[in-house]
Amino acid sequence: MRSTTRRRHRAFTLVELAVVMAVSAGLVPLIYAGWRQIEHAQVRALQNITAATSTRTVSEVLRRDLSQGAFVSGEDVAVRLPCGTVRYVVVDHVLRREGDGACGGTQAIAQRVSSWRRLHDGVEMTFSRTDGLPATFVIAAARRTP
Amino acid sequence: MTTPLFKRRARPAGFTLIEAMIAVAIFGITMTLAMTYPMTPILESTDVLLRERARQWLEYEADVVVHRAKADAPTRAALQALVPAGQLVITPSKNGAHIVVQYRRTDGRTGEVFVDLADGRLP
Repeated sequence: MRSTTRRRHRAFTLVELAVVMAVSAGLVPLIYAGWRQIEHAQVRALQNITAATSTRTVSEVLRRDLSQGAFVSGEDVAVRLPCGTVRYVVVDHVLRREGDGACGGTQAIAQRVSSWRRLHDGVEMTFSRTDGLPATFVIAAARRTP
Repeated sequence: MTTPLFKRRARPAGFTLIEAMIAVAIFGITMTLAMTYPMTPILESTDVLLRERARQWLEYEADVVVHRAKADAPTRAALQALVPAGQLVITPSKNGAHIVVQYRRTDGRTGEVFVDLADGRLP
């Protein structure tokens, strides 16, 4: 005797496809947001490391100068050396060491510097970052007052 | 007409409990990785940043010892303010001093940078 029940077709129904598409549509923005978060994290991490590395470079240059000279009082950040006076200035977010040819000329030693100010025994340097949270460092060198 | 010797049992519709548990476990592991991975490079690089700040403070204190200079209090305070839970330990030794700067890392543990000054000279 033949069965009277209809044999079901082995395919997705419209409702099943609609459910899958709805779930996919919900997941795509989540995946995109997660991907953007990973990208931002990598950029921020790179900026952290760049700031730390740049601070090390500036520190070594400044300490080398201070081992041969001393801060010039009254000026923002300047060091008087036997070869002349070198000035540390920020131009367009680039920290430059400016001196005569005998003192090494002008060279850029750090980028993305948003502020740079003199303390008594050193300087405070702030790097700008894309997430708006600045990274601040203090570089100081103590010398016996002659 | 031939009949199969063994009839295949009809599989019940729906997921079994094991299948559902495996799916939930895979989803959970994936979400855990997805949530923690973006934070890893930030935390590691923040530790690099904190370590550099601690090194700057250490070098200043080493300068003070080596050059027998008077430390400037505002400068020292500015250096310390940038190091979370920063602590300075100076232990005089026979030929110089052992200087340690401790700081709190992003994972909550204590990190430190140190220098041994022999004969009052920086290594």
